[in-house]
Amino acid sequence: MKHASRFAACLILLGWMTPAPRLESKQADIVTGTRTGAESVRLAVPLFMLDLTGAGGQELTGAFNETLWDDLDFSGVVLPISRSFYPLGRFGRPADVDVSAWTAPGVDAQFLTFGGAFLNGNSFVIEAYLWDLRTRIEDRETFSLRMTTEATEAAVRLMAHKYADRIIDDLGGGRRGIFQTKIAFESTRTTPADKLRVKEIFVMDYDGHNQYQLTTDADLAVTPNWSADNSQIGYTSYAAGTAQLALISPVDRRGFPFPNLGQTNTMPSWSSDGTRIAYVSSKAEVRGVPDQEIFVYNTATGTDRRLTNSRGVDVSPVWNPATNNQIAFVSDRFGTPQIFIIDAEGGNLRRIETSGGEAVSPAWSPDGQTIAFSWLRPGSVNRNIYIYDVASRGIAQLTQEGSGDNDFPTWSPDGRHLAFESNRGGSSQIYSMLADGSKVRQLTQAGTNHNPSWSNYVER
Amino acid sequence: MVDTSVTRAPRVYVRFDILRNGAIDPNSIRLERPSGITSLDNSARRAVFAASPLPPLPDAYRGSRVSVQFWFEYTR
Repeated sequence: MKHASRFAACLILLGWMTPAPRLESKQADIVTGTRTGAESVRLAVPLFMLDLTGAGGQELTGAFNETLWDDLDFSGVVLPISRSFYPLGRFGRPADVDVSAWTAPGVDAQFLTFGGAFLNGNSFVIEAYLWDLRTRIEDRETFSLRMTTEATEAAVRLMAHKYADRIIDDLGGGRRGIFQTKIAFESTRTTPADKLRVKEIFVMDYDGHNQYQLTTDADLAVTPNWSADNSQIGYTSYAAGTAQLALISPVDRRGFPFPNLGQTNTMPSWSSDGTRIAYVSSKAEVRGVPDQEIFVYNTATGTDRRLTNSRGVDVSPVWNPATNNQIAFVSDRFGTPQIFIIDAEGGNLRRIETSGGEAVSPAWSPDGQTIAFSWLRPGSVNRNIYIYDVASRGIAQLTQEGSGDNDFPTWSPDGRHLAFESNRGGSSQIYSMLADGSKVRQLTQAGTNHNPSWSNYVER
Repeated sequence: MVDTSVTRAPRVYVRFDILRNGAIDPNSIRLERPSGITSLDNSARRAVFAASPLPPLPDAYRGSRVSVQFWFEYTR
């Protein structure tokens, strides 16, 4: 059913809107398919209405409405239609909805989600509907459901994220919503005035809400990176005096034991199958001289293997998450920092071809097809985020000149969004955007914040 | 439902006819170019079956049916 309604939406969108049937021909022939890059699904999202027979709940209903709208607006796949075009009235129940008023020019909605909310003791309840307005089937309902949660703002926001994910399940073209995912990052907000060298790892919801401190090292805790199942965050800890890899639970802040891999070790990066961690170590030597090189540690077998062997610093390893058989990294072996790709077993080294400058901070997209990176282009005064198409070797610019330095991109698990660090507002903060560079949002304000890492999908 | 072991697949091309009233002619549905993965081919065919009926063809269109070739790209 899910598959079918998605397909129907797709066909209506793409089939009818692309080559219109030629009227003179006896029988039209249409060729189309999934993922043809059609415009977003137009979705009307009237405010969920609080049942006023109960007392209270206005703020919670407001938080639900705000979270739902922001999620859908940022989804990159549905287009929530501006409310100024909506018919007047309250739309809490199916009987309140006149379909023709929602499909009329102006609103021109293809889908409509609406519903009601009420307080039941300490519980906040919504009854929600998603309707397909363009079907000729008597039953327009794609789904209806009731959700119950604790009557707190945090719980209601989470419920709104779950509801938005449910909508994307049906209208998202086969890719799941990311509204329950999180972002880890470095922050200086707890740094005492007399200790300039302190950074701690923090975690927040994907939209910047619910920020909390994860590490309490009172030293440098940097380069966070999520494990495949989100149960652990790997990072670089200086708590023991030298840089070492460390693991911590983002849920209860418990540390996990991790071996000292010798000398200094930084920038852990998990493979998407959760079996290996690529990292940077100074234990390597090149022609007898200590050198920062990429290593791969197998968490199941304990095998520790050196991957690169070249004079010059090799840093910032990231896996191709679609295959786990390639690693991108930054090397200054030819003078300035550039991005290279190497097979995870070694060999087949090649450079991402940029026209000079400095290319750093690679982030491989979940489908393996593109690599986001930060590039100080020759002749430019600022670093900007670009994406590199692995197959065609084309490069597209996402952040623009005049928006400060932009660095450390990280992909959302649906591949539709990126978070990054920028100093465009005067201090370094975390921002997010769609993968086409639009819908830029600032997510952090307190202190300075750095080096975001987007989590993987949350199990449900 | 597609085998969980399948991580990538070629496109599946399905052809079918939409009748004037929007119904998909069940006898017209055929796999024009299968992916070679039976569960995926069946999933594509099922999706077309389940999508019927679609909205009726526009009045201005005078033909009795529209032939559609629709491809499915598999993403996990």
